[in-house]
Amino acid sequence: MNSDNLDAIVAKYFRNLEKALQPLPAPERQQLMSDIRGHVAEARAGLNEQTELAVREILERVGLPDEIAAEAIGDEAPQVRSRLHHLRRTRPLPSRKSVVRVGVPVAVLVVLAAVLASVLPSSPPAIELVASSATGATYSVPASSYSVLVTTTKPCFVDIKAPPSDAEFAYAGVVKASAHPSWFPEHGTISVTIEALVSSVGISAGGRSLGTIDHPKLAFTYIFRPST
Amino acid sequence: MVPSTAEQRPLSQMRRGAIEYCVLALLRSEPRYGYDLARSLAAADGLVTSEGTVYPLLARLRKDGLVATSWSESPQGPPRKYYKLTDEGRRALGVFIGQWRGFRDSVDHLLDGGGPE
Repeated sequence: MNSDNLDAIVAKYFRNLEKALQPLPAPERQQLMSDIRGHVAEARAGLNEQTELAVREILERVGLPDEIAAEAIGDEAPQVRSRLHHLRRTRPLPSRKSVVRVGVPVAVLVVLAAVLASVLPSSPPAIELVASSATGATYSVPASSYSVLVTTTKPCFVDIKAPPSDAEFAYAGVVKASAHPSWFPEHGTISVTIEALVSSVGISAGGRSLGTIDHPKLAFTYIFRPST
Repeated sequence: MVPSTAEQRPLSQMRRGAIEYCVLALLRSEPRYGYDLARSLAAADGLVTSEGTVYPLLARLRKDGLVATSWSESPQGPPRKYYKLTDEGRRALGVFIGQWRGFRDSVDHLLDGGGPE
């Protein structure tokens, strides 16, 4: 088999990989494509003889496109990723004029809302503990879409499953130590497990805090279930 | 015999928790390029399913500031992207090593038939 045919085999593999990586935002997809192209080029450069068998073996070691995509999309919490990707695709940045046109009335509304809030009695909705056991606790959340905010003073491992019964993690990774919380936009019922003793887990929606759990228990499963 | 999905699940979950620190550990003594890292990880039994799955992980480590990258010419083939541990990555690895050893000892103790101390 000549070199053009071998290049065609590799090109077909990368077409399939790019298709599998479509759910990722373009910059991340292009970065991964570039990294894996470099990997295949390096492997081919090390071959004594460019044969079809050798090239196919390289691609087999690199792995199935779906397998790589699952790792990439799983790493980035699929719901978050797909939501962000959707927003990026469907909501272009507003122009300066539209910012001014929308910004002034919004500012007036914000001031009015602040004045009303100071005058009217209010009881802001909050998360409520509805059940607990030795291994976990369930909270009701007065919103169907909300954010989980994890604050930690040292790197800690966080597992988020959405829904909780899902065998695969929606997010499983290390949250960095920072005074600023790490945000995980979620929807519906989820479970959160924090593998550290020094951190807090907060829930917010619409820019308002709905409650905070200070120093969550180690390897304890917190379930958050919308009440609405 | 091929392990069932249920049998593979514990390994999969342990792998998810440990794999990124295995990458950091590989970078502890010197910077390494992607192909070299991927081959080393793929050679270790059960750590990665394929060489290509290492790259999403490297991208995440870089995004998290635990590794930094730079390009260098290669004696053969295309230029290489080298990964090196950042100070933050070194700290995270140190924390993990301490946690891992404690965790491993506890699990070993229980699996060997020991009770709570």
